[in-house]
Amino acid sequence: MSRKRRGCLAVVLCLLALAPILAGCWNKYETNELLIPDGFGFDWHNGKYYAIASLYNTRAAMTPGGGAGGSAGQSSVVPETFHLTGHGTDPGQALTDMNHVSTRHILWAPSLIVLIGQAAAQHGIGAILDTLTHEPWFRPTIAVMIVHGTVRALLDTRQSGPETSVSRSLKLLEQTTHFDESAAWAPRLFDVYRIDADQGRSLLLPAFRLTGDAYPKGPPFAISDSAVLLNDRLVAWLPRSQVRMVLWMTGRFVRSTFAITCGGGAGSVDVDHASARVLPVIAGGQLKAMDVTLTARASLIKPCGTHDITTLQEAAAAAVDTEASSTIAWVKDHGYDVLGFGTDVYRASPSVWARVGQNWPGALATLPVDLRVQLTLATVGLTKS
Amino acid sequence: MTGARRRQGGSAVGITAWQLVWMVVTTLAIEDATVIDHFLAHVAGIDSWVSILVAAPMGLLGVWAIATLASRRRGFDLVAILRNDLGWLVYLLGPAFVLLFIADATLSSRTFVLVAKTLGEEAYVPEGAFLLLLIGTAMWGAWLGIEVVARVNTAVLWLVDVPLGIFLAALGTNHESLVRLLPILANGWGPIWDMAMFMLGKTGEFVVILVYATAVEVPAKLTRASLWGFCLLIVMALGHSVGPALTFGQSVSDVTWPSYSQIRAIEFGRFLQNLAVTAVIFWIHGFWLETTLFLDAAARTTAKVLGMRSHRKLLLVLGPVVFGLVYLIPTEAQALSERRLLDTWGFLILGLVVPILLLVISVLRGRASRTATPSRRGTPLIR
Repeated sequence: MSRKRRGCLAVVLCLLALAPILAGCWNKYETNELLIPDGFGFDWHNGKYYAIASLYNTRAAMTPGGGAGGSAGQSSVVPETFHLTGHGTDPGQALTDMNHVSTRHILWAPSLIVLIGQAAAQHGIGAILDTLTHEPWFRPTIAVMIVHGTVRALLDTRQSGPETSVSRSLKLLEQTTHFDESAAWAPRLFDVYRIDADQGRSLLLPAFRLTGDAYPKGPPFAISDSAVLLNDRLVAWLPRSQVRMVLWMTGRFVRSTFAITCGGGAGSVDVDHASARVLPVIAGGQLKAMDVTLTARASLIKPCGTHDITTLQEAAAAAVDTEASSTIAWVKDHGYDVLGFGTDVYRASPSVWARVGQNWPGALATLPVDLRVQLTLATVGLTKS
Repeated sequence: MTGARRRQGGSAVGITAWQLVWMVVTTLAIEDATVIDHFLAHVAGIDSWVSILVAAPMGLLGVWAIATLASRRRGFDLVAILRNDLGWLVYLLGPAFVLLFIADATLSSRTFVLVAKTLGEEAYVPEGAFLLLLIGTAMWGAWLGIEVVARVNTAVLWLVDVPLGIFLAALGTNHESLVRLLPILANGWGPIWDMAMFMLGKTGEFVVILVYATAVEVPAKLTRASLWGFCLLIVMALGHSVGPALTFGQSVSDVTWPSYSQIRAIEFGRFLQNLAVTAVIFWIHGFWLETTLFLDAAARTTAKVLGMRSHRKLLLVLGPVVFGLVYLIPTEAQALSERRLLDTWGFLILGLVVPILLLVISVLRGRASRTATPSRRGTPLIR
């Protein structure tokens, strides 16, 4: 290749390398022109959607002594976080209205959570999520959560302590719901969409409730019973005690402690590895039952009345069996398929689903469920009482 | 970078078979990650991978026919083959190919703008700026010659695209599940055949190999390179269709750009996120190359049909034409509809059926292995 052509090659490569700048990102704005949201959500009141966002004030970081987190004795007129609100008959309109309140640009990229108030969830979350997914600024990895009462009331709370803002507390809770199966599961935006497309399945979303009697240094709200949605509308609350078995049976279990009783004593085991196999039993083109097998590996935390491994294993399996049966009973009683049995039936046989799916809550209520628990106590600890 | 061989004087004599195939593979790969994915997901849903497997053997046959024709008719390019084998029909099929190439260049430019808009902040940059950059660099690349374009493509492909693609694929979304591919064929074979035909038509873009056949140093290597390139494309297509299905399940049919949405859904350890912007690297490279290749192919084919000695001046006409045509397809729905029409029928007939017929004619006439005795009008344009 001639020298001239090599030069041309280099110029073309440089131009191509520079081209992404045209498409990108936030270079149009200086940092102090940005507002960074961490928690935001939607309420529904009197036929209108209300969008509300808790925003980090980037100017606070540039003000000496500025921000709510400044040391004692210093005060600043520049708050570290504040809220913006907007309203409209449509979630998109509310969002636009909120954006127009501030002259600064809202950088949506770091958003982690979208909160939806109870009334808005009862009205239907579909319109809200459709708005968000069509806005290129929002990520599909944003977590969707429900709030007992209103989002406004939750974001308006203030607390002292190491976590200096509501939004940071929310981030902490979001991480908790992601990593701690006993609390709930924080589904991503794309999870919500995927589950909503499943056959007959009811969506389960984690929910927050204002507590009012929180520890002095903790946030004044906590994870509560989870929200059950049918066709994008909030229809019921699943007791928090049932959530972990739903997560186990839907393959999202991480780790949890179960209380066991045996020999007249009380103990506990830590289940650190769990899986579930859910198979519909279909014979002669008819759905006969659901076959559920729960497999777990556990560690002994505290023995109960005996040191016999077999007895302890049986006690632990019985504890899991009892809780799983209770959850299945809740599902059958209420007719909300949070376990995704309908999807399992459809995947096994679309033709069978075409028949039973027409009255799935009714079919679910009378559907026999064969539950088996296979628990192995892998570690029994280093001490002996 | 696999370089072109040199004459004693140091100037390049052409491109290698692999460089040519890499260009076609890159253009199809970028379409695979955007429009092909879109149609596969919307029509065949979670069964899109079946469509690809159905289309693959037929596509392999088509690519083999195109590459064999190019490698065995040495010294002939597309127009020369048409002129020699079909006579006056070259004045019918030649312009048809030109229109096909211009349409592809137009649609690739429009698709680039459409996908770039999904990044959001781009909305503040006028659409014309993107088009000017894309089509301007495409015209310039074509002006410099296919050798420069091939080298740029090979460099960006292996130094940027492939490592970045492997990195993104390795990260995944951490939410994939094989069970989401079930049930298989729940909607029957109808959508599968529909998309298999579309995929087959897409394979017809390999016809551009015939346009550049005379610029290839060792045409005998074209068949092998093309077949391997096609197999690689099939693997990529499977990855692009199965990946989003594993993540989004049946809701994948509601996703406009499945592969892009999957990149957006990547979260590794809850801290490595927001990788969607990296997609723009693939888009700029892929759509720039596609626009360049088909704009250049249109100019070369026009020049050959009209008996012009150089196609360069035609670039100055066809570039603005493409720029203007893009504005005739303003919406996403229109662009996607035109794209499907062009690929399913345009490239299927002109890109696949015509070359197969030409190969059959060549074999029947016993000319397949002969070397051309180029006439003045049939002299290949090599740059």
